[in-house]
Amino acid sequence: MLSIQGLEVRYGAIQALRRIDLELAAGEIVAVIGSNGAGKTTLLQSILGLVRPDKGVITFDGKPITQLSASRTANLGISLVPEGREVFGTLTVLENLRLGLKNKIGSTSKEQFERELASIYERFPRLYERRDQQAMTLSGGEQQMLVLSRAMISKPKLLLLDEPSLGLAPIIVSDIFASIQELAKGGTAVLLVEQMAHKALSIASRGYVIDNGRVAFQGKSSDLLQDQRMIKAYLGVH
Amino acid sequence: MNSFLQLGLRYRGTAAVTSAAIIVALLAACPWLMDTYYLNLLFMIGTFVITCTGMNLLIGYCGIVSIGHAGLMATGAYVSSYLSTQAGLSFWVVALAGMLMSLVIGSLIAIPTIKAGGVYLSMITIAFGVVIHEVLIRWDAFTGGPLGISGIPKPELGGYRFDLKSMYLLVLAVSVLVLVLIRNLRRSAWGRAMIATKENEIAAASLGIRKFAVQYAGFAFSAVLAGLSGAIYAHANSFISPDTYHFQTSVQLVLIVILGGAGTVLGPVVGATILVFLPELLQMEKLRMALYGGIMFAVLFFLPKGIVGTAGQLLGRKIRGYAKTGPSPARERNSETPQLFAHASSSGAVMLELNGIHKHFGGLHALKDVSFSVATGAVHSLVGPNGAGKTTLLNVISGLYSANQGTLSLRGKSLNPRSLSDVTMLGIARTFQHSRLFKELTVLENVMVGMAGRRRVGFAHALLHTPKQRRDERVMEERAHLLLDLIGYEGDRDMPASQLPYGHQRMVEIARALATEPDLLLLDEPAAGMTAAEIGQLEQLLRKLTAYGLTIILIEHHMDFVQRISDTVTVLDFGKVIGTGKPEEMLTDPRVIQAYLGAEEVAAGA
Repeated sequence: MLSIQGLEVRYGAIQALRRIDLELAAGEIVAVIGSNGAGKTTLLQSILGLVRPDKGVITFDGKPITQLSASRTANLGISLVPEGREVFGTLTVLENLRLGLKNKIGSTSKEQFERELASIYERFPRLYERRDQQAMTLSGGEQQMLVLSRAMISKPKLLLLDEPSLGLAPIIVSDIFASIQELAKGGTAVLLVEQMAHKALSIASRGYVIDNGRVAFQGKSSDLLQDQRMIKAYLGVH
Repeated sequence: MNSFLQLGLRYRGTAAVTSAAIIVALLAACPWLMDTYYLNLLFMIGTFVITCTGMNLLIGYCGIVSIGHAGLMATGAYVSSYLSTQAGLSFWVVALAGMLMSLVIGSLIAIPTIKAGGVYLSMITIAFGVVIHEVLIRWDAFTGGPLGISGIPKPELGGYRFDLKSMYLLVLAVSVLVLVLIRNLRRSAWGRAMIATKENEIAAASLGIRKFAVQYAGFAFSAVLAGLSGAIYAHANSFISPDTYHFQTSVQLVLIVILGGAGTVLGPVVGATILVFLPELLQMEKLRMALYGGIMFAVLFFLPKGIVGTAGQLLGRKIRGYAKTGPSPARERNSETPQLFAHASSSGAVMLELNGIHKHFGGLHALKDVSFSVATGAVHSLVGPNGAGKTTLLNVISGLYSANQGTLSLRGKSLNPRSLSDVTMLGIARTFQHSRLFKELTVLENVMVGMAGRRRVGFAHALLHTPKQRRDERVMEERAHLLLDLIGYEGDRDMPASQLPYGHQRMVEIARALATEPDLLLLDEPAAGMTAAEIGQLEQLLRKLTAYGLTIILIEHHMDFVQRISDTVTVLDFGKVIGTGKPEEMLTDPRVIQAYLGAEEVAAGA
């Protein structure tokens, strides 16, 4: 589904990413782990086309997308949920969710949308309670639920998630991770950037650890969870 | 490596001063090299530079777009001309009078409208410019009506009467002086406070910066410069009429600033040079407005930061004048933090007491009868589901919202009613759930902004870069470095905050909050987006802070972190307090598990 080879990105004198190779199959969840400033967000941005890579090739569904702009890649079915809750503040919760359909390929029938909506409301009853409220009046965590739901309703082929657990109550984090798993079962490939490494690896099949712009190591989630380097830097003592 | 960098920086500084001196010397030689026509154009550029440097302060630093400054130039020009033609007073006296009157009238516009801000302020300035123009045409007795005032004498000094050449030199000297003053201001606590207020009013107010004081100072100074420029122009030209101070002139002033680059010291020079020369070169006096419109389009499309701003970006160096705050290479790392937190109070006593707090937003009852007290020196955590009202409560404590009902007291003294900046001065500081660092400022400057509320020298000291200002600046820089050491920030401190990775932004925001010298620190999800190792560092930091006697209120969703760090936990749900107690009691409470943690989390944590 997604294949990245030799990706390099520089910002002026700073080399943000160096020779990144990464593979992601349809229906697979892959975690990207690393400390702040390691280059994780840059990686997501260059896949979507918000950042122009200096070297390397990104292919999606067999087609090269390295030089495409973000609106083009979005139309191909790639969706990014950025860090920091970008809701449309003066629109209501329901209107925000409707916008999720905007960039969907093909069209969705009304019944289909209602069904999607119902499943979202079931997962996040908070959004149902607040469906007619302006999105900016939601609390931080509720906005995060909204942004995620908006991306999920568009049923992307590739979902790029930047810190979906940010600012969410533990019980909601579990819900969100469950929804991500469900989405992947439906065939969506998910690239999951997450600081809660333990949780991320528990739903991902594989993980990449990025340090200083490089892939420091990678492997199956089960192996990474046992890796001493991982435990020390990213998993913490449990 | 680092010392090479330092050397390069210093060399660059000297090179900049040297090249500036050479350019000024060349400009000073112009009267003997050029004919009157070009000298006149240069003189015009100078008068624009004086006005537009003030406008730049307003647009670039304060974020206020005035489209009526031609009216303030007219005030300076007419008042000074009237006094010198009717009362025969010397230029030096009447110029001062013109500046004063411009200050008075500028204040009359600014004082009632700064609070409204933004578009409203711009509309008021447009109205002002239009009204002044009408007044100039109709108030015959004072302004000479449409014919204006003629026969304005040239300035005299000790028997010497100025001619075009010496007027030009006068304008050159004043322009250079004004540019130096603005550069000083940008590198002072005032400049930082202005940019902070422009970027994020709430964050700035939370650091104790009063928007009104800062923006009024900017408006007043720009009014004085407009008045001065008007007086100089009138006495060089010996004739003024309402035509000079048309609405178009105000637009032209704004265009000069934007074309050159708002917020860059040299922007107005570049902008004025282009806008004065271009119509002359193209011989298109009649199409002047169309030309301006075209330029405005082009700039906004291709050079949103203006010529100097964009060039600065391309060259990779900051002509913008980021304060040269480079740490001296030999600066020693202090593991101790002397006098960073001077007024820490004795532990055990009650720091903050909340009693029956209610907060409504329309029909939404966000906080219901919230009461608890926070002990001095404790870490008191607020946990609860998303939307439970945790951040709302933090906003009530920090003064961003006022409670509909209930009382708050800090160290036994009532906290209501008060403004955001007052609360900061009383010793409460906060961070935001979303980093609200000031992106245009460097990391170090961001921390220094935190001191602007308590330690800001007078405006005149900042403009003149007096020894007192320099001393103050050194002290603030040193303190800022100590705070960054304390939070363990190892990165580049002269980097614009916009380039910081998210996790570092959170840490720097804590340093900035600490710079206000708080007794009580409110942290809204500081560990969000941090790795386990980084959370470990945060934990160390919080322990250090409580050891210094600080009290901390913490909103956080990382439960193991909350469990380790907290002395007390208060759980909120649906705006109500479910309970307050020790972390091990609260986090095992069945109601908390059901509403907030979920059974799975408890199983995993065990």
